[in-house]
Amino acid sequence: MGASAPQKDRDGLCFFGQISAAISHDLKNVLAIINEDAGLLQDFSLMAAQGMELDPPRLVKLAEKIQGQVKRGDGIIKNMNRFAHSVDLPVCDVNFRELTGLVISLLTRIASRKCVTVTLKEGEQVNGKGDPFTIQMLIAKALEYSMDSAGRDGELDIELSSADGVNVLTISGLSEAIPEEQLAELESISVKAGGKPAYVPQDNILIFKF
Amino acid sequence: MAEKVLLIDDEKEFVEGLAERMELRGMNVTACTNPQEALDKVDAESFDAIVLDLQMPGIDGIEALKHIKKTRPEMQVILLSGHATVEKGIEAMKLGAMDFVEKPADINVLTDKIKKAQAKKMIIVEEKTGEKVKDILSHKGW
Repeated sequence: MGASAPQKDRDGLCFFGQISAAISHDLKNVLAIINEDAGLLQDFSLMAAQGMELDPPRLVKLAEKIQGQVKRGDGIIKNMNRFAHSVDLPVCDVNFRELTGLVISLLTRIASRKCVTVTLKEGEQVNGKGDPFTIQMLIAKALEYSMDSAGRDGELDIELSSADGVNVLTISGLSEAIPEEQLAELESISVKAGGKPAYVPQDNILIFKF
Repeated sequence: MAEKVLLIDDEKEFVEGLAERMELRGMNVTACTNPQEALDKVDAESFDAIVLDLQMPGIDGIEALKHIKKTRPEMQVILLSGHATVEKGIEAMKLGAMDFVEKPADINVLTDKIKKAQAKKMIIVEEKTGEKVKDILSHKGW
């Protein structure tokens, strides 16, 4: 085994860890809200036992809030499950639109912390073959660096298209130039993902061709 | 005396629920989901305890803590996070946070910490007032 092999594994592991940490944070928030709402129901019950009149619409609202959080938690866990299964096969049929949507969802917290809005534009289905995990890692890294470039209150648009057997993913809305070392890192992941990256500074866009 | 608390967290539903429960326990709570607005409130008025989320959009909890300790060192900060790590906890304590609580928080534990924060702040304010009085007495000729 060469010296670069453990490093390659570690890059993937770091990405897996980063996403898992963001998921655990979101789930903690969901649990914290359910905890407070359930606590309020308990407080009201104790007060009712002491003679306070219960307000049924208020109780219904609290129950709806809890149900809403359970739904939110379920969505997070579904995404976590899809992400975890992306390491099952090294190469398989890839739905790029679905995969990009998943990465955007997984990076919601990071985007929110950086105050950047990410939108996946409507369009055709884009399919191909590849390693889903590495492609996700590439999209996530590209998005993170694009968020830094877009800056606070920035808006990134992602477009997917397909022509003559080539799939193209475009990130627009960048503002500052992406540093050389970050471009080199994207290039390196892109090679593993079977793609070719291009940065067009005058248009402030990042392009990946698969 | 009712504890005056500033609650800062970007999760609106969490802030609403916790604030209501704290108010039911006799506290005077100001809730804020925008970290910059919260820091403006810190600059404008006094609080016995500030319950502060560690990760928020724009300004993170550590940055907010640094600002609070620099501008209003007497205010006691309890960091609240869903992302508790030992390093972050140690960093926060070194920067002057009074305590660190992991989400989901136990309301009784949090209430207890808020009461301790109020007592600690009162001691600091009393000490400061005592020093001011001493200073005035030593400079005046009566």
